[in-house]
Amino acid sequence: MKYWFKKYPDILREEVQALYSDENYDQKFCFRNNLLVSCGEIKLRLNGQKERIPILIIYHSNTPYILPLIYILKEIPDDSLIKQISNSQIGEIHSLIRDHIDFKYFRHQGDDGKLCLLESDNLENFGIEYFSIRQIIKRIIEWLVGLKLKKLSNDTPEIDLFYHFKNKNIIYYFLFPQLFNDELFFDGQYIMGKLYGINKELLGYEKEIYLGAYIDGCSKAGIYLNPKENEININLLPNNIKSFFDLHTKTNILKGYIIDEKIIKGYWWNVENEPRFFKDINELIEIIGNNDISYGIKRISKYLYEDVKSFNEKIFIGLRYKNYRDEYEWQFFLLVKKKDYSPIIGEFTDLQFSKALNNYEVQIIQSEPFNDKTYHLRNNNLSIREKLSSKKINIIGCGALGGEIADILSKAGIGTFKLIDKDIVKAGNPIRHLASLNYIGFPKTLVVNIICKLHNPFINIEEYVADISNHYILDYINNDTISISTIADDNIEAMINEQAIENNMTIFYSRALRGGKYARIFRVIPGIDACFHCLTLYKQENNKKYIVIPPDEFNQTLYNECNNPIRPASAAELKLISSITSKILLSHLQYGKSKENHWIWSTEKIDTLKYDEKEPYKLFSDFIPINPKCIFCNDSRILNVKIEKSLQDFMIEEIKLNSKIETGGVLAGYRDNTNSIIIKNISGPGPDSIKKEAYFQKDIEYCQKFLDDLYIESGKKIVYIGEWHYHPSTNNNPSEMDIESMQEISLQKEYVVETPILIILSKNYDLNCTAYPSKHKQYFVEAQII
Amino acid sequence: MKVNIAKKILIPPIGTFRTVFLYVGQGDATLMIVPDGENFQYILIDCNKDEKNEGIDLKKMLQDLLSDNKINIFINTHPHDDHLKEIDELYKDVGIKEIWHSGHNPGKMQGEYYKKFTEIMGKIGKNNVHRLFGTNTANKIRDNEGEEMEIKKIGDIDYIVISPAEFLVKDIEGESAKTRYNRIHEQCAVIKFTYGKKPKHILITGDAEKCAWEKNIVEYHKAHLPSNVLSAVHHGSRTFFKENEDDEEYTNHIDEIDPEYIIISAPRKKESPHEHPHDDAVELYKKYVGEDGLIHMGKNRECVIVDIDNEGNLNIITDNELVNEYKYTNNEDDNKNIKKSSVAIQTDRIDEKKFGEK
Repeated sequence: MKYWFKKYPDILREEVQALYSDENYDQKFCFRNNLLVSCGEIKLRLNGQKERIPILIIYHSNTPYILPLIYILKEIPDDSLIKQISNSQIGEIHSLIRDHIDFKYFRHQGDDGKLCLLESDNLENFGIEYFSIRQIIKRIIEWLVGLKLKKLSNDTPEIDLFYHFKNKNIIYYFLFPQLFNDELFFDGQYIMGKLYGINKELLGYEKEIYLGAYIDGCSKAGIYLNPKENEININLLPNNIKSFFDLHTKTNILKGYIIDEKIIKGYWWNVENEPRFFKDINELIEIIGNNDISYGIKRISKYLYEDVKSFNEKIFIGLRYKNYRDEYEWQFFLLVKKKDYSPIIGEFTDLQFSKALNNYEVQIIQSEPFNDKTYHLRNNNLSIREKLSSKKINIIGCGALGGEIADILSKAGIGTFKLIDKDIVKAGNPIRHLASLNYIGFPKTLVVNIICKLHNPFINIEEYVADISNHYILDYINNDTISISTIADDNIEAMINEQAIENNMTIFYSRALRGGKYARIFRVIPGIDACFHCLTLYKQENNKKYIVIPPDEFNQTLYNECNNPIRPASAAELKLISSITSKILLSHLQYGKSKENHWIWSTEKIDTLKYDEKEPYKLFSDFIPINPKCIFCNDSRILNVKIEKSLQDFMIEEIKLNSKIETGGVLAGYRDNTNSIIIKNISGPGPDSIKKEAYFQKDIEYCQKFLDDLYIESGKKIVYIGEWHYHPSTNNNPSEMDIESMQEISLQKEYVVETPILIILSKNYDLNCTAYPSKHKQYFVEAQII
Repeated sequence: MKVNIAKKILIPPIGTFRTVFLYVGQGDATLMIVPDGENFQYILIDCNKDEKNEGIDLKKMLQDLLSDNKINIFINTHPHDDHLKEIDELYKDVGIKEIWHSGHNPGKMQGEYYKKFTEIMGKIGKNNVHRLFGTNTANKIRDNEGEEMEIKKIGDIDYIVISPAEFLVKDIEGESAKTRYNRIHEQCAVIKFTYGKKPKHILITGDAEKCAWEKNIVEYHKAHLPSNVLSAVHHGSRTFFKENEDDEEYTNHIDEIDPEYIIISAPRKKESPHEHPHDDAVELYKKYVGEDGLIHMGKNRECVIVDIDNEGNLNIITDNELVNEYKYTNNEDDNKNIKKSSVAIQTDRIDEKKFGEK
């Protein structure tokens, strides 16, 4: 478990200070355990009223990338509930607070009761867009005023009532045409038609396409064999048929599917020669019998006896043979019962079986070979299936870019990809998304999965439908895979970046800029490439390495309802960018990492931009190295610890009181921006400490007060840094017990410090200093006496 | 790109009248952003500079807000330094088109800024300088000589000058310098601003103390006094209600004003050289508007934003962003102002840990 406040203690302090001292908000409780939670009342001063509205503020575990969660409450709950929320994980809070939420049925309160108040449309700002709680509280008041006055100023024209409505019907999805807006009608009735099957209607006839799922049967010797599990294309079967076992056990379900023709069951025979042209069933019998009619009848009756006897309307059959290249081929036929069939009277003998067969006409079914090898033939040497089939890639964001990239990669024959997105397809999407209109209401991952699978059934696709902002990267990505993010939100991508670097994962980022006329694509291999944060720093430093693409004032965000920005760009731009991104990814997967890690694509010329090859329709590429100041890419190890001489003397004096037993205390100070720790104060052991020959335990109450007083006196500058103690021997190395205690401190949420320091003095007053980064091995740090 | 905080916080939606009581430490400065069709006019009432208490640097903030535009009108309620400090820099670096003032002529005891103020009035030219005299007519002011009356609208709002009364001004003008100095708060301007279809009112009072209300205002202007928002007189001083702490308080004025919200422009009591706001005054104010209706800007060093929309809805919030962005910083920063109960949440909680060589 990672705690954001150990990484960002300054934000913790700033926010807590604000919560305690904002005149617009009267905080009742504030707790920090797993989560930082504040509960209090918003002071609403509207039209002479002095109203107080109870609210709950929960800082997300992915703070500062994700804004705090804000709920309006029916009343201020007991502090025990707030404590319980604080002790919970972010995914557990909803069930705790559900009954306490005051639903206002007003715009910007989601179906989960959460307020979505601040538009986050953060692209190419590079750097986290963080709103302080003071700003958020002001927005809450604005919203509450809007609620009271029944209007919200400065809001986008698009109102997503469906999103905000609590009680959703998940089945129906209606589209209404212009004629519904006819002013002549005041009330009346309406009718909606189902869009399903639109393709069939356009085609004018039915066309059902089937792909082989499995075959089984007997050996030449007549012994029945099961197919191997992995030779079954389960993905093509209905959802409740998941395995070969199901095929054999769920016979009733299967029967239903067969009747509905969701699946087709047929019979087949291997024949010696490629079938010649033939005119009727008798000739077919001859072919199946390898020119021997009676053998043919025998072979056919083995499988078709029952079907023919009961005069089934349709019987599907297939023949398999070797072609002139000595490769297997297939031909399928449908036996259709003739209208003027003659019923068989009396016993159903072999002769009668052959007669009965004559009641069927043979229809040929168009068929084509379809397998991994033949399917990828056209990709030739450009996308090499052999190289790609073992590769895995995660597609983070399945929008217009992500969906197209997935499609291109699937057609290239990539082995496995995982689609990650939280959204569903909406009516406005298909104008530039892979999805078509008949997928409205489906999760984007599912639609992209279906379409990619229809474009290439030989690849494996996984889906992850969730809002990644609520998850840690390891929840949805495996360490050994690479990923492409097309989220195009600086906050979310900064979050992905930090977590990916922590876990040594390669991520590509692709984003359309200036209405898609420009694109920025970059690769981040941790330890090699400039990461997202490095680029942020380069931009802030006005470093030429980072090419700033100015936003296009004529192509601004169209609307942004509840943090879902819709940015302009048509399919022409986005498909180009998707293709370029895909090409870069495919090169990486097939040939390894390129020299370059940063690409800029443009279809228009901006004179003020100064970089080589800035002509339109040229791809500029460059290598941008790690920024030396990046806290994620560079070793953020503590370089040294600076201690004033007087503090060293203080420790020595403390030791001299009884140099035969251990003593110690806490260290207080701050970390400066050069990764030095400056120790400003050192405590003694306190009256209730335990001091023995080889054991020390400080007085908690005493030391805590020492630290808290310092914090206040220093104006929030001096904080806990770590521990010190004395070994009454020449050994000043940390013992196992010392190491264990320090590692606990680095991980415990009660401590805000992320890398605590331990100072140990030996009998000769030699000073040993070690640092304990969370989840990493401790290391020695130089101690400078100043 | 750096966000222009002044523009972000101060510019209201079109058609909204926004009054911002700016935190300037021990002093007053109120910015009014007045709707004028689809545009705005910018009115600054009094100004102050308090570096010690980390007040807002008005020049920096207004430069950000106005870019190349000037302050349309600077209104001075009375020429004490804590209502005039930095006026020279605002004139030089931001620009002022018009000045309206109380016409008080202080003696030599007055602070340095009065002199600068008169120089600026000279530079602006008498056509752009107006005097405030109490009246019963809306939007009426006088020319620089205090002779010619003029109806002069400010954008889409209305105002009425309630004080100083003409006879009082004449009376004080005849006094010695010392007496004039003592009576400056008597001659302080009081102006009511009104906006909205269901009209809402903001009463700006400067330092107008008890005797001005008792003798010259309440009786003659009763009808104009009721206001939704009252700027607490003289930084929350008890001089609004009484001369000395033990005197019986005078409350006819506040009874007539009948405010819903009161705003005190003062630092924290311990930071104020005059111990503003006075506890007895604060208690009295609370009786009228309740705990939440009274906002003391210095408590958390915040500004107060009062919005009146064209329908006449009045809403108040406090703002910390302006102070954060534009405050004067000194070494004695505000960081020490920590609530003790919050320390445990902000900092490390140590627990039992075992150390030792073996």
